[in-house]
Amino acid sequence: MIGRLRRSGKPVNIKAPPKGKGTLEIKVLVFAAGIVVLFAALSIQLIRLQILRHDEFELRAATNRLRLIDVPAERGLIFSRDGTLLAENVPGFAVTVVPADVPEESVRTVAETLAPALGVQIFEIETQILEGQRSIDPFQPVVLQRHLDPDFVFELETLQVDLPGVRVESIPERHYPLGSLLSHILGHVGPITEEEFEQLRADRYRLADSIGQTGVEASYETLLRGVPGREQVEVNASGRVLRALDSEPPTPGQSLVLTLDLELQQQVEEILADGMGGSLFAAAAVVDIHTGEILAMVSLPTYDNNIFSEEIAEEDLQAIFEDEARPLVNHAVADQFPPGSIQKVVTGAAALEEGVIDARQRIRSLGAIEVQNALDPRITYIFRDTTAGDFDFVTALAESSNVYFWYLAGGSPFRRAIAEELLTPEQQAEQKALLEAGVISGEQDFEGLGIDRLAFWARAFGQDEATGIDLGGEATGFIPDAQWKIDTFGEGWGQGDSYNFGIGQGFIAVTPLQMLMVTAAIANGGSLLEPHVVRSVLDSEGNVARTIGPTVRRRLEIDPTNLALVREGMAQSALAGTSGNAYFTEMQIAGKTGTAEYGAEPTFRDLLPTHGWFIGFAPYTDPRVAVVVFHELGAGFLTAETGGRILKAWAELSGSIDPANPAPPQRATLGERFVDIDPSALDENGTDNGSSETTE
Amino acid sequence: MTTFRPTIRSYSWRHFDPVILVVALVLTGYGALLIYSATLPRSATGVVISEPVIRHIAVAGAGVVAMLFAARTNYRLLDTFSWFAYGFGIILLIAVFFLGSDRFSANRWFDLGFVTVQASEMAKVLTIVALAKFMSDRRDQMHTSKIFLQSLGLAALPAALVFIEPDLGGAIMFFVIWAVMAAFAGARLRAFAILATAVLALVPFGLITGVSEYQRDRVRIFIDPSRDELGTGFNVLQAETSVGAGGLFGKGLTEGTQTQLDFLQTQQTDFIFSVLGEELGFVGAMVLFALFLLLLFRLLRAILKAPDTLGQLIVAGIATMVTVQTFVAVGVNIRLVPVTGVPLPFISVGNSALLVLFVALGIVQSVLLRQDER
Repeated sequence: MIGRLRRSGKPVNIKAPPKGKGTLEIKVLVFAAGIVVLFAALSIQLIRLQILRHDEFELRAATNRLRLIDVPAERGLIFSRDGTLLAENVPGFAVTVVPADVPEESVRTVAETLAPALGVQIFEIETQILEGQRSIDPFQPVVLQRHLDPDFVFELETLQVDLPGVRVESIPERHYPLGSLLSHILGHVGPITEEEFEQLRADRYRLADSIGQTGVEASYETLLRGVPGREQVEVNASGRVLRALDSEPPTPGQSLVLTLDLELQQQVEEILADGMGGSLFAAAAVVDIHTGEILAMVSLPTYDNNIFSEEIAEEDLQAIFEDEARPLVNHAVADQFPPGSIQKVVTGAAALEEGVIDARQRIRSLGAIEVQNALDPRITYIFRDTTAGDFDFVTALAESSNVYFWYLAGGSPFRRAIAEELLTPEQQAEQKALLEAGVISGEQDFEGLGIDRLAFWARAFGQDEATGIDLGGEATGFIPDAQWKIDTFGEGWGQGDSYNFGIGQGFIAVTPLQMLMVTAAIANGGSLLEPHVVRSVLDSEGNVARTIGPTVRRRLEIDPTNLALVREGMAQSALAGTSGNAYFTEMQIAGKTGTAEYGAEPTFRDLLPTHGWFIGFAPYTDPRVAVVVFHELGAGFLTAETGGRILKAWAELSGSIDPANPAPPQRATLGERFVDIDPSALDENGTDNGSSETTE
Repeated sequence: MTTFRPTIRSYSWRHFDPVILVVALVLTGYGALLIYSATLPRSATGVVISEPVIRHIAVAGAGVVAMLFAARTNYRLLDTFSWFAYGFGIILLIAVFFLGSDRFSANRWFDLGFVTVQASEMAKVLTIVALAKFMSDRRDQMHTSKIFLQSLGLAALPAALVFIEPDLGGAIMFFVIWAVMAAFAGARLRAFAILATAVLALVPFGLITGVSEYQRDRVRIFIDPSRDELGTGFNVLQAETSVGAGGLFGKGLTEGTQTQLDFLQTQQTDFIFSVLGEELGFVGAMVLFALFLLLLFRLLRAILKAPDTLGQLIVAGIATMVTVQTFVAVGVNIRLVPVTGVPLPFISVGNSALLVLFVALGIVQSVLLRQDER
């Protein structure tokens, strides 16, 4: 075989080797020669460096005083929509030490000299230096103390002359002129931690740097920070810079303009605080339903984000961290709760779209229903409502009939129970007779959405995902489904679970921001938007470098007529339903209240404590903004008042009150009515312009 | 055309080249020693074996197994799988672009850099296999410009992907490997000459070398935007200082001030030769060169022993890869080659790269084991 390979001559066929032995060996020889030449070149260069010029390099290594120092860029500023400065840089001083520059024998001296001046223990400084020397980058300056008093800086300058490695560095600090008003939006910066530093070293962060920790400061860190410059410097034996050999200037960070309307923000904060009652905490937000721009977002109680830029007493900080109301948390974004009856807008839209019910079809509520236990038919559960009567879609939404939405969510109950306290004695007798005679049949076979479709539509409305707002720490909400219940509790999804889900109780949990975007989608005709608090990014000259949004997350596949029905139900809610407290005469609005039970222990008689919710939009005829209000302890009809005041404040500030077009007068009851919406009255956005006439 | 015939077991472990295995292990051990010194904490008293050292040794252990396994496997199987291998290499290189795309992730470049290096190491071997298959199938046509250019195209695709990563040095390496393999496959000298002339004419090479420093920088940044002049200059200066300060015998392992005081950056990877130069001196470097020369000459021997063109070309490609990589990785440290991030084979930290090397040598052994076959 080898013989044939080595046989010289022309190739006979494709299997025969093309070359003779001689050619191959010549090629290998040339290859070998090439290898030798390359290694010879390396060796010659090594001889030059290591033998001929050895002394020169030896000296250079012995007095290696070249350093590459990162120069941080100036952090970008943050402005409000109208140009008010919200976050600025103020001069600050810090004592730093470069551990590598402190010789072993001087560590003690350095610590002893600095400790009394800085008011700390000697061992603390010693530990910091020694740990720094052992760290991955001993040339990295370690901050011994920040926030130095300017007078003290001068004192130190004289003191540290003969302390190797020690420097007083100018490190700008962040200041927020408006303090607590925008803390949850702006967030704050804080010193980089050791773990963060190890991760971010590749991005040229220094241990002495601050980094955005929460809010816009964190989510836009890359833009705000800019690109650090660099200096190649020569230092003396104690690490003091003698001269810069080469440098690369930093690129300043970009500035941000927020979507927030400062005046509205201020008023929302006041109104929310005013209506908080016994709530531990509360949240409210207003969004432009066409752009997703957040116009106001308040979470109470708030805190002053400047505390992170100054010396703060340990116990004050402790108090904030331990406060039961968690002031550092933006409850509008980072916290989730059962939505209660505001969920009916989602359940309702889903039921109409799935054809579960015709909007005109009425369902009789006797104020309660009974559900049979799936495993043991002898056990029944009674679900009680607070209202009774015959409801069509719009009136059910306006009056917030649980029974109606229980049907939509879970179908016909085992039995339509009678809530005696809601009916007159005559009605009771009549119903009892009807029941006994078996005359409740009409809707006996009514089929509801069921858990699969309930969960599908809740997810379609984005209740199980982050909205994508440009603030960190967003909660994603939670939508249960049948599989989840089996996995978690080992039992199947029951009809009662669907009933709870349909009215926003049970396992479901959402963030106020998610509900705000649900409301915006209903108001704008079905576009689920990505909310954002930053409007534009400015370059260092103050020109707009980038405009943010609007971003449509998805279009909801819901017929505009169905969304119009939901809007009308919400409008009727404000005129004559549960949202009546939100009503104001200058502009017609729409809203929905929610009173969501939470916790496991009743706090008052046999009642569970409840969260108060309100979602709404305005103006009803041509929606422009949506609002959400959340009270940790409250009831929907009371929360509605806060919501109405916020919408009124927006209407006044934005100058969108049209005196020629005030709200229709409020009515005591919804009365007998059928919904009849002409689809041709809808414009292309699905906004129901003509419905105010048709409903009267 | 070679085909895999599983019924005839005609390979023999008699032909296994133990020198290749031993030299590879000695080089890896040498590398572990240098990594040990490079990763020694400043404050350490006594011996502190760091995690990278342990991993380096562990990978070598796995490498031996991989080499034996690859040796036992008939390399002609690669013939059948070569297009799959090529496609896989390309997918690897493309996949690198989609990793770590998070907008605000601060670790993106760090992670990406790591993955990039590893992916291109693997793609190199896979491309060698594909080129060997392509050229051996058409060895009587390599003198035609059509096949010559087609094979060039085969190398150019992965090279282009590596180039936009961006890694200019890595891209050039693909072309060098291609050129050597093409020469072995029977391409004409004239073809190379014409190609070289064309490249010189097309690329404004004259512009790069013949004009002002400022303009040259602009072009350089255009070609390779990730270049970091200030940082690179600093590193090269420190590397040169380290090597020069080492002198004839070096300062002794773990005694080099440049290494131990961290003046040298990325010393476990791109600048590991500087650690050797400073601490083990000229003598240490000559030992390293001797080991590499021994290994490379055993690879050249394998070319002569190969039973068919496919085997010859695979071995030639692998030998070229090791040669060029070693030359560039050392050259960067001593100002002989412009800075590109190339790991020194067997020495630098980089687990999958090391494993790939052992597998490559295993393929060489596979060729050797089957030298009696046709």
